[in-house]
This record gives sequence, structure tokens and C-alpha cells, in this order.
Amino acid sequence: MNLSSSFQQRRKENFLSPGTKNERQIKIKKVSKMDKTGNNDAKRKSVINRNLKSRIDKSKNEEKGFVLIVGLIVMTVLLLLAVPFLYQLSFENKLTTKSYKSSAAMSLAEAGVDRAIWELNYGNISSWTGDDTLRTMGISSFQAAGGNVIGDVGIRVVDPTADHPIVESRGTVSYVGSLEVIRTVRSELGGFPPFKFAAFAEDGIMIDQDVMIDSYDSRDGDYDNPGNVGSDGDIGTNSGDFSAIYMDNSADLAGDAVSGYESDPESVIITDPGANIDGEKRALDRIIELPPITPPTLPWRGDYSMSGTDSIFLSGEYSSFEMENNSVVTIEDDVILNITGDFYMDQNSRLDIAVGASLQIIMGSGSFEMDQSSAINNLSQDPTKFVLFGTPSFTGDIYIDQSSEFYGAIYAPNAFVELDQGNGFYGAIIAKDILFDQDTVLHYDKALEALEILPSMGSLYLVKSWQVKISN
Amino acid sequence: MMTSKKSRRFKPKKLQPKGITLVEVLVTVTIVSFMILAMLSLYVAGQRYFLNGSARSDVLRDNRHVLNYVSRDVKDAIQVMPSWDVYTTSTDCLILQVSSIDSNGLIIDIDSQFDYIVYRLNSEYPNRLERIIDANDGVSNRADSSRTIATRVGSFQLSSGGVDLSAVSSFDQVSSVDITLVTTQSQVGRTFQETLKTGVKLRNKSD
Repeated sequence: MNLSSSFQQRRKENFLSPGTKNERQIKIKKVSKMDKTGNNDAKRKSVINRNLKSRIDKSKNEEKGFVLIVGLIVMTVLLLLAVPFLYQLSFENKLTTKSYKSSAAMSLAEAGVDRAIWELNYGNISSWTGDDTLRTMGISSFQAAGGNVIGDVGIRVVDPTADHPIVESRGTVSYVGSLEVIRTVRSELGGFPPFKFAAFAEDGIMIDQDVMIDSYDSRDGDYDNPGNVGSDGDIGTNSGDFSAIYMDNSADLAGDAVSGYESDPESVIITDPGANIDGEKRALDRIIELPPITPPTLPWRGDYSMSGTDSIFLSGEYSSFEMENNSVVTIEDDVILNITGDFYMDQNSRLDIAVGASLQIIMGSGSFEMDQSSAINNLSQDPTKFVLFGTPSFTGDIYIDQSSEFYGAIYAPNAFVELDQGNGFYGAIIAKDILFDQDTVLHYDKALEALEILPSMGSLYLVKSWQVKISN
Repeated sequence: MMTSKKSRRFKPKKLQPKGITLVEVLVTVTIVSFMILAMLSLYVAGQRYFLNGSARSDVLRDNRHVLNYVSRDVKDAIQVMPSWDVYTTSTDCLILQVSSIDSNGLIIDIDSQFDYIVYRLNSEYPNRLERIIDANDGVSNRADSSRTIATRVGSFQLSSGGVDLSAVSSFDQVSSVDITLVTTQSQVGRTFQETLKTGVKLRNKSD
């Protein structure tokens, strides 16, 4: 057996012999040990064995790193696929956040206006910073019920004691970093506009035979102007009682008949078979609260009594107002007559309201009486230029029967109004009870819709206009 | 001697054969294929979920966007008009009278200067909701315009106090508007639909 074949044999034994790797290495060591004691051949064997051992060890250490590379490639591919999704997600997230923040800012701004209205109506606006030209109030870091900070509110009330103050409220919500979402609501306040109906009665309306009610708009010219006549002459009541509104034979209503809130219109509004309603019978969608009138403070002028001709330019408070036979009083300017006692016009007396002038009569607790052939002549023929108000203590009767056309509006929530006005009543009526005598004609003027009971006359502050401004 | 040296040099190389057998290749390819397939199916499923999710959120966002627009205009409005120009307020057409504004955005005259804003479904493409402004030319700072504010509208329905807007008789009495908006979108063979309802008060009539 030469060197080569003995080596081969041993190698074969090493590789083919059963046992673990360690056992094989022990064998190799044993062989090496034997060789040390032997001759040159043994030395050579030893060298070869060392070579072999080193090769085995080397092959053990030279494991290639494919997994890492493949892993990195896969990761890169996945990352590339995910980038558009992440981008989209962040975009969506931004949109959602902005939408949420702007809603919050809007709600804060709206809440600010409502707070100012509450303060004007029921609170104490004078406790706010500023004076009667401008009051301001700020709430910083307004917290929601859960304690989360929503944002800041800044409220400004311009002319807080006027009849038409302007409220501006700004809601600010921080967005990203120093960016802010701001919403501003600007609202003009005003009084209650009561004249939405041709005739509205707290308790009931009785319409006699051949009464005619329709509408027109004095802003579009006279009633006779072609196309000016409309069918918005609505009549209504807060009452839900049976037959609170009754229309007799041949009565003609160019408008709706409206019963009280949550009532049955068919039972409240009773019509004679010969009566006609152009519109519909319906119920109110809410109770109409009629604000009580509080007269403004005016110069005291005592009793007024006139037998001849007079002109009135100034407003004033009178304990009584009497016009004797054939007297003529002309109102020459915008005049308010606050009459705490009786108002009386004797036969053939005339109260004229000049063109360009206006008259408001506020009745206190006395009576209102116009005798035969007396007349209130609103010469501008504009119903908004004459209003007869009744305070809550005015519970008497108002009887209108004049030989000329009557232009004006009546607001007397506790009074009884009777119209015997075949010559035409141009305007609107609000009373406790209303009676339309036979052949009376009522032309409701839609221009009266804009007429308000001012806050200084007893109305609450209500929203007249509402504007949302958006910035950022 | 030379022969034996040669044999010594070559033989160890024979012991460590380089290269991959066909079986190894096949096994590797199979395993890798399975891995890729698994990854792909995961990716496809993920993509489908994502597209569906974004379709749903698109539909919802469209809906909210439109309702925000309409709500703001209804709050600002003076009143709902029965008709204006060629438009008539109905179940799916809303005409609002708003105050004309000056260059500072302030109301010019609340009683006499008006612009009109119309929301309606396009008659030719009923899935498009339009916002048309007819401004008081020469007075208002608003400009006449017609914009599509949503393109995926399923339906747009208007009512007030439970009464269909087409059945309302006195529009000046309308103090609130209820809006129901359905937006739809088809995505990967599925149709997504969102229905949102909101009731908005005309702030000047909410006494």
C-alpha cells in the first residue's frame, strides 16, 4: 500500500465511517498523532490531513449571504409599492383633519353669535369689554364637554344698544404648527317682523259675507298696477279651537287659511259652502309669539285737543288725544304718538299723514274711537307709513269704517278689531280677535313683511341677516 | 511522482463539486414561486381593500362637501324662492334668495338687493349637482356662475318640516330645509353608496 492509497483509504474511512462530525475529527486527530511518531511518510500524511481539515473548516465558514440580499430586494419592492398608498393616506389624513378643524371653527363662530344674542336678550352685554359703540368678548381655549380644547372664540358686537346691532364672531382652530383654520359669522340683528299675514288673530277671525282678501306689494306700485295683485293674503290664528276661523257665504280669500300649531285645520277653519279659499288650509309649523309692545320714552305733552287745523312735527307722550268736529291734523314728519289715555276722532275730523311723513300711534290703556265720517288719510298711500300699536294693556275695540281708503297696519295683540271697510283696507292686522264686516275688502301689502317691532319697542333681538366668511 | 502530485491536486476539487443540480433549481424555483404568489395575492388583496376604502371615503367626502355648501347657503339665505328665471324649486331643485354683497363681502341692502343661488341636478347628467349663481349684475360683488359641485350624486332630495319642497305652498314661511343626499361610486366591481341627511335652518327665520 503506497502513500497515496493509504491516504485514500483513510480519507475514505474518515468520510464513510459512521459517527458524528466530532467523532470523525477525533479520528483524524488520532491519525495525526500516529503520524508524528512515524517517518517521512507519516509527516506527509500529517500535512495532507491538515490540508483536509483546513478545507473542511474553510467550507464551513464560507456560507454565502443570499438570504440577506433577497430579503433586501423584497423589502425594497414592497416599499416601492407602498409609497403611493402612504402618500394617498397622508393626503386623505390631511383632508380629513382640515375638514374636522373647519367644522369645529364654524361651530365656534356660530356659537359666538348665539352667545351674543343671548347676552343682548337675557344677559348683560354691558359687562363685556368696551362701550355702547363696541363690546367684545373672547374665549380662549374653549373646551368641549370631555375637556378637549377646541379653539378660540372672539365676539364683537357693534352698536350693542341700537335696534340693529351687528355681531361678528370668529372661531379659530389651530391646524398644523402655526397654521389656523378661521371661520367668521357676521350677523345683523333686528326686531320681530310681525306682519307676515294679511290678518292674524291670537284667538279667532270671523269673516262675513262678500268679504274679499288678497295681496299686493306697495314696493311695486299701486294695487291697480297690472300684475301687482297676488294671492298671498294669508289669514291665521294661534288658536286650535273649533271654528276659530269662520268664513261666511261668498267670502273670498286669495291666500292660505292657517290654524294653530299642531291643530287640525279642518276643524279650526270652517267655511260656508259658498266661501272660497284660493290657497290651502294648513296648521302653523310653530306658535307665533307676539311680542308685547313697550313704548319708547318720549317728551310728555299732556292732553291734546284740537278743534281747528294743526300740524304735528314731533313725537310725544299724550295722556289723551282728541280731535273735535271737522278738525284737521296733519302729520308732517316721522312722528310717534304715545297715547296713554283715550284716542277720539269726532265726526268729519281728519288725521292726514303727509307724503314723506310717517305716524306710529301707541295706545296704552285707553280706548280708540273714530266717529262717523272721520278718517285717517295716509296720503303717501304707503301702508308702512302708518302703524297703530296696542300695548298689552290695550284691550279695547278698534273699529275702522271710513269713507276713504285706509292705508296702514294694526298691531294690537290684546284688542278686538272690526273692519267695515268697503272702500278698502290696504295693510295688515294683528289682534286678539278680528271681525270682517260684510263687503269689507282687505288688500295685504307684502311690503309690511319688512316692518319690525324694534327691540327698543319690546321685541327680542333676532337674526336679520347671517353671513359666513371663510378664511384659510 | 508527477502523476501522484497531479492526482493530489485534482482530487480535492472533485470532492467539492460546484454548480446546482436540476432538482435543486426546480425546488428553488417552486419555493420562490410560492413565495411570490403569496406576496402577490397579499398585495392584490391589500390593493383591493385600499381602493375600496378610498372609494368609500371619496363618496362620503363628496357628500359632506356638498352638504357643507348647501348648508352654508341655506343659513345665509333670506328665503327659499318658489321659482327664479327658468328654475322652479322642487324635490331636487332649491332656489335661495341671498343678499347682494359689496366688495368687502358685506350685505348691501337686505330688503332690496338680492342674488339667487340655485342647486339642481343637471338635466342632461342627473348624477351631477350644480350650483348656479345669478347675481344682481352691476350691484353685487358675486359673479354669475354655474359650477358642478358633485359628480357622483345618486339622488338629491329636499323637504321642509316633513313636506316635500315641491308641495310647499308658502315659500316665505319655509324656515328650514331638510336635505337628503345620496352619493355613489363603482370601484372594482362594487358600488359604494352613502346617504347623509341634514336639516338646516334659515337663520333669519329661526325665531
